Amino acid sequence: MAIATRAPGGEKETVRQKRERDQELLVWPDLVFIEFICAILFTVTFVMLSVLVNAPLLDRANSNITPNPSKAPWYLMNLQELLLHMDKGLAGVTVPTIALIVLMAIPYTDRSNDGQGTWFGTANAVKITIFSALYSSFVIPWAILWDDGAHVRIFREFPHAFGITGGKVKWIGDRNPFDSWGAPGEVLKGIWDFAFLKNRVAIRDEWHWSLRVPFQPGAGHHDGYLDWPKDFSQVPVPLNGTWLWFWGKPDWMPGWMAHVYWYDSDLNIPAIMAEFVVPIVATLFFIGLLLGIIWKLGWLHTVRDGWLAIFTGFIMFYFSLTIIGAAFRGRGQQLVPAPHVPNLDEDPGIMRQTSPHDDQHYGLYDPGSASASYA
Amino acid sequence: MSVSEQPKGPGLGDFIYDKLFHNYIWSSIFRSGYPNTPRNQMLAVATSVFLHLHPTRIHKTHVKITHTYCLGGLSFFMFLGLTVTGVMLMFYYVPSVDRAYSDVAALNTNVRFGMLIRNLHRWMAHAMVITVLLHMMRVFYMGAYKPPREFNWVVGVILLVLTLLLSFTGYLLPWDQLALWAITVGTNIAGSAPVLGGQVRFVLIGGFEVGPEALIRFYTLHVIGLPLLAAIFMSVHFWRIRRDGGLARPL
Ligand code: HEM
Repeated sequence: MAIATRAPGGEKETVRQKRERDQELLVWPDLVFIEFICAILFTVTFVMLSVLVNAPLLDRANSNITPNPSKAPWYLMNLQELLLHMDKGLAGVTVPTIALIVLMAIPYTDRSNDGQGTWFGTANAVKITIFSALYSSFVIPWAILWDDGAHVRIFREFPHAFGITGGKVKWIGDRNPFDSWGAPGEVLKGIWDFAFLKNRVAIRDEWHWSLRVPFQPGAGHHDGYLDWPKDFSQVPVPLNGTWLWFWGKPDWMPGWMAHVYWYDSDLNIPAIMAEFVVPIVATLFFIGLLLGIIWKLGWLHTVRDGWLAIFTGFIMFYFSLTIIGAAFRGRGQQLVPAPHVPNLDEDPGIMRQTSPHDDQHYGLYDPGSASASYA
Repeated sequence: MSVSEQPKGPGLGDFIYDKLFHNYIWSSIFRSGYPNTPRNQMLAVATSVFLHLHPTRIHKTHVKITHTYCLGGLSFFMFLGLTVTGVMLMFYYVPSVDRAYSDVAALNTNVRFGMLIRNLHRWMAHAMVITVLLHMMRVFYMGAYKPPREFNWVVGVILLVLTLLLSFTGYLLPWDQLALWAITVGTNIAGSAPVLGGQVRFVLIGGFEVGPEALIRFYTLHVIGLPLLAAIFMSVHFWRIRRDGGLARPL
């Protein structure tokens, strides 16, 4: 019997799939027995596991002793990892909220019944999934390493790998090939520095340029130069009291209005660049690049194809950030080789630690620059 | 069997079987014997409160292990196992800052099988997060969310969130250093929300830092609020599977 139902869209009628009674089995015994055996198998497995491996119980909770590192439960470690790479609110709340909404939206955008009910039922499904998995497992670790400035450290340490000692190599970004070029050299140097930025926060903390301008808008110090980041770190929000000229605290406003009016709020553009713009643009860029590549390869034909790529990327993202957060973040959330991550089983003492001062030096990590970038 | 052979009379086995299953008490519980005809087997499924979530008949491709890998069923199994072991843990556990830690420590050392029950609860909780994630992947890669199953996918996403919240609220209860700081990190993440972050965190942990109020809130959510919600959404989830015409299969 086919039951006519209204599709959620309204106009189109979908017809519920016909039952194929001749293809059906009885739930008792065919399904109930499988479930029964499965339940027994897993009960036995879990009882054995629980006999062999004990759940952890550490010292009693003590809010005066902050363990180092403090980590979230494993399924939230990916969020904790994300916090290190963008604004906290963006990483901790906005991104997961959007992820859940997008997840829920998948079936409302992909409405063809093609290839449903079989594993990878559409034409290029397997290819897209494998490609997306490889792509993400390449892009994600490198993006994280880049944000940690690892490429700079590796570059500097490079000669050591070949046994050549005697000083570190200067990072390309720290050189200045335009030294003798005069005024245009300064502009080029700014571009050069940008191209070889050490990481995301370097935009805010380590990128410096200054540009001669005839007119400087806004209130405050006018010296005829626009300097990054100094002149951009307190840009008045449009229409606030210091926007074009300074007009004093609006005491005449009723209290509630003064409360919501952005009288003296300003934008820290370098910080917004580092905490919002770069992470968002990079994320969208890599999603777009993924879709672009599978389109170029001729595999992207349906909405389903696009979702296959994105969902696979999302799963890889979820798991690789979890693994990085769990296995490669040591004291002070520094990126360290897995064996250097404090291990609870061997050293429960890390839960009795108060301060991060006992950090050790691990080849790949340069505490000076790392702590400066999060200052 | 040759014609001259006489059928044997009932033996001891038949006698015991008869006494066990054909008595007044047994048949007051189970209205029929073992269902050995198709009609009775369907009736057994349709009339049992435990089995009637199932349809009576199911498409033959859907009982293959490789179709679902039992992942949805396993998630439900974990949920049931967690309920049983959780109730047992509740006998011993008092959610106050003074007692929580020593109660859990006593489970480990003084209570017979206490450690086993606690371990079971812990490992099944981790396993449930994993099976739910894998179940979502199986549904996705099978395109089993397509019309008319859109809404059941949404219910699924809600169940995923509830599963994570259940696990998260339970994490605090042992009241040891691991618990306290993991929840501090976790609730700080919630607290970083753009506008209402601070308020949300305050409501969640009942104060500015994880303390006695947080413990009782997490406990209440963990043992009644969230499981109740999860049970409701699971009922809808299972009911929708049947309303949507069973599991998805190729057109
Ligand atoms: C507590 C969590 C969950 C439980 C106990 C659960 C249970 C189940 C069960 C028993 C089935 C029957 C088929 C199977 O075993 O695969 C099923 C099907 C389904 N589940 Fe879940 N599920 C959960 C979470 C989810 C999640 C997170 C999603 C997706 C985001 C989801 C979406 C679906 C859909 C769309 C179906 C229908 C599949 C089909 O028609 O083939 N469920 N669920």
